[in-house]
Amino acid sequence: MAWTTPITWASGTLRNAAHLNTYLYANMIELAAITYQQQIENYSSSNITTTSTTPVLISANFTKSITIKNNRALIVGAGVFHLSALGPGLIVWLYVNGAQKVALCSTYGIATTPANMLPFMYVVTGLSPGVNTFDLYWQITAAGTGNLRKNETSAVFHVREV
Amino acid sequence: MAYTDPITWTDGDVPTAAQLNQQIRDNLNYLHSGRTIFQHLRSVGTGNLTTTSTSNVIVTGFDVYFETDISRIFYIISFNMGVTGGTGVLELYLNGSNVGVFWVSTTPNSASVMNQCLFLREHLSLANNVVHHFELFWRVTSGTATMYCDQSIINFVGVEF
Repeated sequence: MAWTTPITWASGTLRNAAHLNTYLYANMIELAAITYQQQIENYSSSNITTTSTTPVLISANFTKSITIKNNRALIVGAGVFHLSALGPGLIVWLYVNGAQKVALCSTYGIATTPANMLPFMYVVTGLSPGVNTFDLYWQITAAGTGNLRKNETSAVFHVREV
Repeated sequence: MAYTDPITWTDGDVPTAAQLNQQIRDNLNYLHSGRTIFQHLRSVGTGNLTTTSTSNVIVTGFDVYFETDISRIFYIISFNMGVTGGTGVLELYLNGSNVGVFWVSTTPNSASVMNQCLFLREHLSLANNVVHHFELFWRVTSGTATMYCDQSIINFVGVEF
């Protein structure tokens, strides 16, 4: 149900049921509805790997579009990562509407064992109301292989309006 | 535009235009605009932060004032940190009081670890437009602690919840 900017009441103005249904009933329903998208990469599914030293989409599952009412979105997620060797770094990027936004989290100096849980949370501001798309990219910083491990813990990517 | 506590209506009340504008128009617009948020970032490439202090010192720049209209704040601090030669401790203060030591770390072999601290703080003042003061402190038992921002951000976010 769409949002309609509330009217300004004036003394002596009579309002009918249609007005109240538009400006009060429908708007209350709209406010109570929070739009979000969530991707859970289940435990025990196959790991994802990259050897790219430039940012690439982690997988097609890590792109989410939501319709927001105002101009902000909350991005939350986590996954267990490891690198094939000590040395290179691994960076997880947020892209918003196709443009690189921010490096959410990173790890380096972590070899195959142990892996490293990378959590992130970020508030995107300055969005336009309507449909916005959020993608998780990743890269490594030198030769090697980055892994998103799903054989031990689920990976989560959550996007919601705030 | 601030939120105004709703009126309790009684039989016989005749709402005025001013009341309707405040109670319906302004409060709906406030709710529609989203909850109050602060986000304090240290961007990639702005230089790592280090400390060798064995007593609490402010994490540079992470001294935040946040105005709230409700009694709960959900907040998170995320950072990539390594410690050599000791243990690093972070503490969050709210309005001058320690709300807990929430992270301690040792990281061998010059490695660093991405950390995230999540908290839900309740029972803040219910009055509208109350300003709260968040301060992030850190220290080491010995050695040097480093917050790295050469690859990813240091992020401190608070959201009314």
